[in-house]
Amino acid sequence: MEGHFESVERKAEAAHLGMWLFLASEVLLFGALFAVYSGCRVEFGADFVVASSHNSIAIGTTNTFVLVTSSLCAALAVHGARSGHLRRAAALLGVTVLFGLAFLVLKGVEYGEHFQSGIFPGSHYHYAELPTHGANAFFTLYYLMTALHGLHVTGGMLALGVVGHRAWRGGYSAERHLPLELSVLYWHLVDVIWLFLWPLLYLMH
Amino acid sequence: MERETSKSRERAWPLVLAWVALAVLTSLSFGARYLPLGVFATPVALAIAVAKACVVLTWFMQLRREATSVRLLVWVVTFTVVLACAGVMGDVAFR
Repeated sequence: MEGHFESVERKAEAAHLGMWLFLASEVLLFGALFAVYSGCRVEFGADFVVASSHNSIAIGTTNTFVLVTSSLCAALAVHGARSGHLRRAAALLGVTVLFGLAFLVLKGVEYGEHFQSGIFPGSHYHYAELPTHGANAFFTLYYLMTALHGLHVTGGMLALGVVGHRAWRGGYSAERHLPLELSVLYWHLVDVIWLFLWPLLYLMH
Repeated sequence: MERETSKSRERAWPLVLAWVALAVLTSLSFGARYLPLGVFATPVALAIAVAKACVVLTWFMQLRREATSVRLLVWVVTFTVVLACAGVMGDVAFR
């Protein structure tokens, strides 16, 4: 018996459902931004295409491979935990966090390049090569969406760091590692959101 | 925990295969960026993104193993986001 649940299995199912409900709320949060983006794309179609070409495809693509590979490490960590290899799981979570850090560093490099060109969000935008309202709207949305995503990456890294540390210290077992599984679910969602941000912000032409 | 011990017999190679699929699809998106697809460029890129999301949901997040209520939740949220995007696009286009 686990608390007021009739069995440990029921507790795990309830925890998974709760986590998926949380992930759904996160998708709706980003969904609102995607809806705004969709409207602006219709309004400023040509400007959005030109503005997106000023993002670094190399950095965006590298970051996609980084997050996808980090998701593999996280999934392998769950597999390791279920098999009772908790130390291996912890190490894989550590690698996942490092991939997250690499993602943020690359994103920071891209932000720095934009700032040097005068590409800032909102009324601070003064990029001489693209002085259009559409380009301003694109980059404002770019900062809003990528910064919000970056915050989620940071949150995911913290969560994986905590559960990874606990796994390394022997706080979990093959039978009991629910926090590890739920944290990894969150990390995969961060990956999924980026899979849609990448084509919308980098691949238009 | 029966739910977890039954999973512990799973092999790791499907996860690696899923990553290979994701890498191939990502390369496909990158390559399509340089093809003369015209108005189909964004739909093609988004279709590949949907395929990648399905791979992550199915193999990494193991959605197929979750309860029916969870799978229903994913469909409802997806439909809501698509409806919101389509509604806003329609509003702007036909205003």
